[in-house]
Amino acid sequence: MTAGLTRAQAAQAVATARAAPPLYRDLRPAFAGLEALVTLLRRRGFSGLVAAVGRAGEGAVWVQHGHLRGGWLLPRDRPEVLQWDDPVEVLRRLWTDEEAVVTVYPASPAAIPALTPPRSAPARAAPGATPGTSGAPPAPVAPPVRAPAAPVDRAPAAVPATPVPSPPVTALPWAALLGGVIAAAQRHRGARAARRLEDLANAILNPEAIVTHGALHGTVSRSRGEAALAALVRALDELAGRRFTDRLLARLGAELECAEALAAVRERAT
Amino acid sequence: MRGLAPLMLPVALLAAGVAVLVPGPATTASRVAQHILSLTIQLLASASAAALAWQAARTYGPRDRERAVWFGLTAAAALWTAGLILYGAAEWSGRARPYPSSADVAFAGAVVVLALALVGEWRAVAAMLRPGERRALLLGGVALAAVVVAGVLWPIALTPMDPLEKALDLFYPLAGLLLVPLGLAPAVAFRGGAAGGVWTMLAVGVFSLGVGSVGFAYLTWFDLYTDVHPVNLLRIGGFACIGAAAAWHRRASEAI
Repeated sequence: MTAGLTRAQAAQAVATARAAPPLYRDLRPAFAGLEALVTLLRRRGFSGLVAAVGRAGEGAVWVQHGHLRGGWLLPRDRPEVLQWDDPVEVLRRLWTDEEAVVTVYPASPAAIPALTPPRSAPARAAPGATPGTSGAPPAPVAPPVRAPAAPVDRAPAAVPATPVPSPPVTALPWAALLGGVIAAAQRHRGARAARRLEDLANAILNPEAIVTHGALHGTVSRSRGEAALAALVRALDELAGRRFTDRLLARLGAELECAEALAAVRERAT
Repeated sequence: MRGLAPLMLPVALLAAGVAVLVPGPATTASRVAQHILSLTIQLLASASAAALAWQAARTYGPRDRERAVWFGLTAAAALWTAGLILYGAAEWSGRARPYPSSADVAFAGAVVVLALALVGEWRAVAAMLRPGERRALLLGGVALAAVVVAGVLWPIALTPMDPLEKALDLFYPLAGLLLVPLGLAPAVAFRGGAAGGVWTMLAVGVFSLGVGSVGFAYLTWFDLYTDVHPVNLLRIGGFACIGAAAAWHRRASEAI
């Protein structure tokens, strides 16, 4: 166990992540298994924050491309910040409380704070925050609060510091297209095939959006949408054959009036 | 009702098989008619399975991997049909005992081609199976074969008889039963989808053919087999299941 972070820094990092709408809210250890949740996030290639509040205190674990990157526990009755080499330990402690409330927030993988290794304490807290009481001596070589500063531009009121290269464009009905392909895979090749396609799509869409049970949550940019659809088309070619995929794309193109765009995606996927 | 149309032929063939093979013949004339009808229904069952599997294969594009699988099933059923024609010709030409005969080249070829087709499908879906499922399928096949060897085939293996006949008596049942897990693998991988149902039905067909071959080996060992024996219902049923699976597959592939 280590203590290398101030409460203020921890609180700021969590507050920034909480600005995003949660992916899962009000999960309880009473019905949500820790192992199952971690496995799901890993399989989805998820990036973001798992935050939990329970009798043990307030905990947070960062996940980057499905891997647990670090976390901390703010005990309810003590001032320090607790960290472990194995970040899942934070969640294990909170999972002992069946009524703990767990929330999962998506975040850009680039915005995940560099929390490993957690041994060197940052020299100062974020501007305006109360200095922590971790007791760790100031470390001259420590990066100046790099971790919490990165996700600041995700706050709703903040203006993005750098221009976004491909702004979100919803030129194609991505929810209907991606959902249609996954639903067809489910009907024809079963739930396991559909889950494989969802995993493929989520690895590309994360953190903009996520597909669960064939339903798309979030906003998809054109580049990611096309890449995800092309990946699904390739996978469906393998699973059910090119002719099946062609028939499906023709049907979706006719129904959604985007046959030409789908033909282009098909060509890219081939 | 229109959705059930492709299943009509296999079901009708199975019903005809029951009608012909279950009641005992009363007169010489009816016995001859029963022989003709029995062979005809067996021929129709395997030939219709070949035709329906051919149609299922044509729902795929030239580079689709399952196209080869369904063409393999087509070839297996067609080879079996050819074997039945050769067998019928040998029997009706007056040979005292048309087993083993040239027909067995076609029958054994059908089993080998069926195995190749199912292995092709296994290789494609194995990655979708959990390690425990793969183990269970393989162990299940081996256990099934072991039970049949211990219960039926071991005495045949120990009996001094024509080596070719003995080899065929062991080959048909063992190969048939060992193919069942290969047919079940895609059924497990595609569980919940139409293809899962298709492959379940196909695995039932392969199982039926395997059990039919066990009965065939046992009956020929005792010189009790005739082509009007009810054990042939298992082979008719096996091909009816394969044909129905192919029809279902074609329908599911086309109705997206």
